[in-house]
Amino acid sequence: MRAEQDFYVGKVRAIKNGIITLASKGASKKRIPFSAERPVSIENGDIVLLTETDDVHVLWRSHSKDNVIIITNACNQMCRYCPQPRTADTFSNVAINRALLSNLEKKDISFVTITGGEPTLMHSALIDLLKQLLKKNPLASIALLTNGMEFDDMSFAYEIVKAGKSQTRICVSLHSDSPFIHDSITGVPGSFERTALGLLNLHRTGADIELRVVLNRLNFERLPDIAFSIGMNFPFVSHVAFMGLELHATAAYNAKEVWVDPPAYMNQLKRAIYQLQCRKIPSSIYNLPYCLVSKSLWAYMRDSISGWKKTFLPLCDSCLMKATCPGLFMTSIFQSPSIRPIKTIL
Amino acid sequence: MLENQNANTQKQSAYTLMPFSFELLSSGDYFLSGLAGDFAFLSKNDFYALVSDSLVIGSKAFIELEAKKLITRGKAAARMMTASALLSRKMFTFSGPRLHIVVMTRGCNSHCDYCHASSYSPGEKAPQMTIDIAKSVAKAIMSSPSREITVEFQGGEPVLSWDTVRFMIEYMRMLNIKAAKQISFVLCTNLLMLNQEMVEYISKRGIEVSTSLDGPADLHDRHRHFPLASAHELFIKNLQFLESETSKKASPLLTVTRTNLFQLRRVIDHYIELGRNGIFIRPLNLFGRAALDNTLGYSAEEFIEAYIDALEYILEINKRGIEFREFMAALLLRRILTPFDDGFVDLKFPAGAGLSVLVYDVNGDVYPSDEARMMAASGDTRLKMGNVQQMSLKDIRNSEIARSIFKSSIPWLIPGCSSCPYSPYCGVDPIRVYSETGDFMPFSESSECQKNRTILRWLFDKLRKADQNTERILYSWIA
Repeated sequence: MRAEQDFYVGKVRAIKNGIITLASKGASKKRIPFSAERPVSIENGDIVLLTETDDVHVLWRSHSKDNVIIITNACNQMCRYCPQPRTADTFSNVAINRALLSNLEKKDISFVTITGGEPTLMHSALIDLLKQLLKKNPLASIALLTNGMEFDDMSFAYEIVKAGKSQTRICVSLHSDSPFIHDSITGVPGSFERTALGLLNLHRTGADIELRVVLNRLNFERLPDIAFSIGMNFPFVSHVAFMGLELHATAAYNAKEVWVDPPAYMNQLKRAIYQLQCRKIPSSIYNLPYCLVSKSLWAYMRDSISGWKKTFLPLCDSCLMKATCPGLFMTSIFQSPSIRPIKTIL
Repeated sequence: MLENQNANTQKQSAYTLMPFSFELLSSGDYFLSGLAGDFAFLSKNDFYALVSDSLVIGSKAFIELEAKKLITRGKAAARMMTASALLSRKMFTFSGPRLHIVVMTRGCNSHCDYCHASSYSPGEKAPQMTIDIAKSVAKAIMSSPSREITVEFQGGEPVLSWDTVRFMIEYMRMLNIKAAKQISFVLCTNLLMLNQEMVEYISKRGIEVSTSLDGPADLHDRHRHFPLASAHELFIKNLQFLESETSKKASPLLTVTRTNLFQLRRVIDHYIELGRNGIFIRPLNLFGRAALDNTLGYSAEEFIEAYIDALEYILEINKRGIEFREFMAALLLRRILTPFDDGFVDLKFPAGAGLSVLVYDVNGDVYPSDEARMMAASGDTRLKMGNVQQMSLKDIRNSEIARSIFKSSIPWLIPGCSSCPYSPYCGVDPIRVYSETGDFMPFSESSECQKNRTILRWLFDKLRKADQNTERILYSWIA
């Protein structure tokens, strides 16, 4: 870990004549050449990271609703289908986040997703982050993605919900109604126990809770049971998201074990969503394209893949639904063989 | 050394049993249910493995049982989740009486063979609630701690005291400016005396109308006698009149007698013809006049058979695309599939009588149920909780009788119920028990119990074996 700052974080103030002008709070302006090798999609107002070797990374897109703050790369679970590369935190990560935060203005913070790793591992840093974001923009809409385990500590749950005010939705991953299956997916014995207690604690503090169920080979058979369990044990959640797999990093490595073609679980998904609806618990489908989802479920689909990660196949060009399709993960190592253009809506 | 040996020989259980009850089904499988209503089915072998502590971790049965919190390997989550669901189910115990039934008059404009309200017949001079008593009743109702209340005007035929009904509604609306409760008013009427002015008032105040319909004319008129006309013909005419003028639909209640029990399919068809979205099939209450007429009643077995046939018929109808539900089954399904109280005051524990529902008689006497009021009318006044002009509602609710009913309706303390896997979804009626035995403490294996068990068993079986279409229909009933 080097103590010296070997990067520069700044906000794009101008892009003119092949030169990007960056300004940063507490640092001098910087002008860098903007050549063909640079990412083309830099806009005014974006916040970029300039590395020692002059690589440019966009940290924050001024016109996006998908901006993410990765507060830590560390995680206390080892999910079989995790699409995040496992890396250790460095001094730079922490410093970059600090620099990013100092450059964020009120208008930048309409929609923020805080994720990791597991963001709740950074107890005080997370509380500070929530407070700072809401201080800059009290009306910011914040999503905190978490496995919920740390909330088994009631006082921590209370602190987070207090810091996040009513602006923070806590999105907790739940992999199964079965503690056995949940734990075998997370790789951590006792993880269901802690997440379940975390959910009850969050509810007691009045948190706005979403549950996220990643659809995979290990849990799809019990989707209606998951719906039953949510209805029975966690009926207080505001929303349930069923999410398609991103076959990247660990998930790519375990693809054989975790991947299942969505048509194979469509029946179970239909039942789960209908059963939740009858219990007045709203749900949505994330990260799947139209052609892999039963038409009766199209109304539940959301355009959830971040713009820069979204892709289509050549055969999608002749699809009637392409314009509004949530698309595919560019980052996945392979795509479903069932993808095909939709030629008729009836 | 000795301690060590002990530790080694004493087999450490890999999982802990949560409290559950079970039953051997006729199929040879076992049905299990937990304290908060989680349930599972197990094969005989798996059940034996479960209780002999040899269930294989990760086996299908293990996964199912642990997911349903019937076993646990954790320290707290399964218990906390169970406690949380149980609290949600029993929240009504803390929220005060929500249903307030006000008997406006003992008089009636028609004569029904099965009347359990023991009303006076047309022409007889019947006691009516005075404005003075109505004020006291209204004040008592508004002093109830419940935030949401339903005030049901009953009789006899409450329309015979229409002016007092109107007065009470206006008076309570005035009191509610300060109390700020959510009040719904329900008028229980046979609709036979409906007029323009009433319809306008009902519409203006958003009053719900509860009425009676026993089937097509031949079935309806058989036991419901209205001087000078067919009760059915006039009912239909006035129902259409009411519904053409108001946005709400009236909900008819069916009284099942021996006459229509074996023709429930016809009754259901009639309800559908009249545009109803469901029917409430509940057995006849053998109180009052009905108890005297042995041509009206039927056995529990007869009822169950007819009821289940009716449910099968309603499922068929739904499969044809008509949305129609049986309200009792819908209610039980809600209890099976969610951890919420349904607001229904019967068949639950603790018993709703005196706790969730209060009945105010014409003279201001308060009873835990209509049956209790009837028994008082026939001389047994032990069931009277108090009078609104002599006591505060708080004291009335705390009366000895309310406590006895409460204490006698906890299934964990009742032999039979305490080990019954259907008790999380069921309840006893201590007043019925009292009327039959002179004591509140229920006994198992009553015909009531047999009926509830059979219906619940049938519903669980349907849910378990449902194809996707049937499952959709059953779930649509709880929506």
